[in-house]
Amino acid sequence: MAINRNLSILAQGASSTGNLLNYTGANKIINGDMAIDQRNAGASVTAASNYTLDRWFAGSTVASKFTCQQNAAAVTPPVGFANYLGVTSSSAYSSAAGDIFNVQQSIEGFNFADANFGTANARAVTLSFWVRSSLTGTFAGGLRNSAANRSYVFNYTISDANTWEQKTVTIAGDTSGTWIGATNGIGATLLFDIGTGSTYAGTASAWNASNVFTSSGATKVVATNAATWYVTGVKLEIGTVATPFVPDDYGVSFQKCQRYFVKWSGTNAIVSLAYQLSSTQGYAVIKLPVSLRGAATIAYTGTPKMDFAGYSGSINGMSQAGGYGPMFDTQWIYATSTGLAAGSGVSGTLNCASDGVVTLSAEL
Amino acid sequence: METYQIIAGWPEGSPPVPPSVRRVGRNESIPFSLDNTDCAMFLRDWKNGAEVLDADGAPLAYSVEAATELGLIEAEVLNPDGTPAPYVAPETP
Repeated sequence: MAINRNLSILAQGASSTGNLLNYTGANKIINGDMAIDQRNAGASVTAASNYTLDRWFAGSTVASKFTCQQNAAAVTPPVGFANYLGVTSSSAYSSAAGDIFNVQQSIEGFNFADANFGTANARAVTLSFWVRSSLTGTFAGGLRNSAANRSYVFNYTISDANTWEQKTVTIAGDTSGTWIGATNGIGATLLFDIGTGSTYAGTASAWNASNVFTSSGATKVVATNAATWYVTGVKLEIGTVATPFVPDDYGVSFQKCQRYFVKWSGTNAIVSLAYQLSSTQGYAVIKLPVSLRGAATIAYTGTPKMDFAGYSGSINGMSQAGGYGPMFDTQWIYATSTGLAAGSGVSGTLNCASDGVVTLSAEL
Repeated sequence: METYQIIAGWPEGSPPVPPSVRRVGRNESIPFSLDNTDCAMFLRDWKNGAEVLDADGAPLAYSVEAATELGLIEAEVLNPDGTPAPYVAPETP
């Protein structure tokens, strides 16, 4: 048996050499077991082209037509899993041709370059996932390049309502088009359609030279009020065989997610040490747990604070300082604040206080 | 579409704070870097007619010049005859 770098032997349970065939391919999908939900901590999110569970994006050109939630309705996940991403339709919406409704994950170019798409050496990839819906019928999805001009549309069938079913789709490598290769941009995007209009319908089981990720006649979850569509165990791997989903160690999975999104929250949680510049300004140098993918959007909610020498200032503005080139493992933050004493040169903290949440997003 | 507002930079600081942009109604700072998804969406929305305010609150209409000034479009280097000039690596000692 040939073992290449995409295979790793599972020693667990191996009682004879015959069990060495229990191998698993590397998963291109991060948080495929839906265990990490930094943004919402399991709360329901109304889809409006926003991130839901870590790395999973709810694509929606019409707001409030479905919600996403980790473990929505608390059904029992498939055997071997503890979490799932649940979509629930908010109405019986009739999609217009140009409407988009999907759940998607973009894969960083560095993690997809070995597929060799866009070259004569393009390799097949295999998608496997567990899915459960209150609806039955043919559903669709797609795999797309960053320029959205190369798309593979796949169909899958859900036979039994409200029953977990595992699906497998093998996609021939795309020898055409432009795929960005080993960069920090979008190497490929995997999309699950839940009600997109006909503008984005393409030929199933084939590469299309256009932006398509559904097929004509595919079941539209958003068309039925309260319809559900749940997914977990999403795995995209090189090759033509779907190998078992082996979840990352939680810490490893969490750090993979933190390359794209980092969050500080919790009463008095310290974001970093800080340095006072004046009665209204301070700097904070944040050492990140992992190197970010790229330039990050910094945001906050609630009222994080800067504390210096007994004075606690409420932050009312925060942005990134520059002048030292890209700092993807360290972020130098400039913050404005009220409530500080006059002075400078005092060390203190940038912290979450009672309700502050600070985030950095370098999502794709 | 979102409404955006430019956040003024602070060039005299040490280190300096470059300008950035935020979606109105959110406490955020989006860097002017095209490998940032939020920035790419801002540029797309701006081109598509989204309302963008400058740091003083005045409307800022999209133009190549305005986007270039924010570092979002690399200025094309032209030869004197108007043709694109090839990139020439700096000489090394």
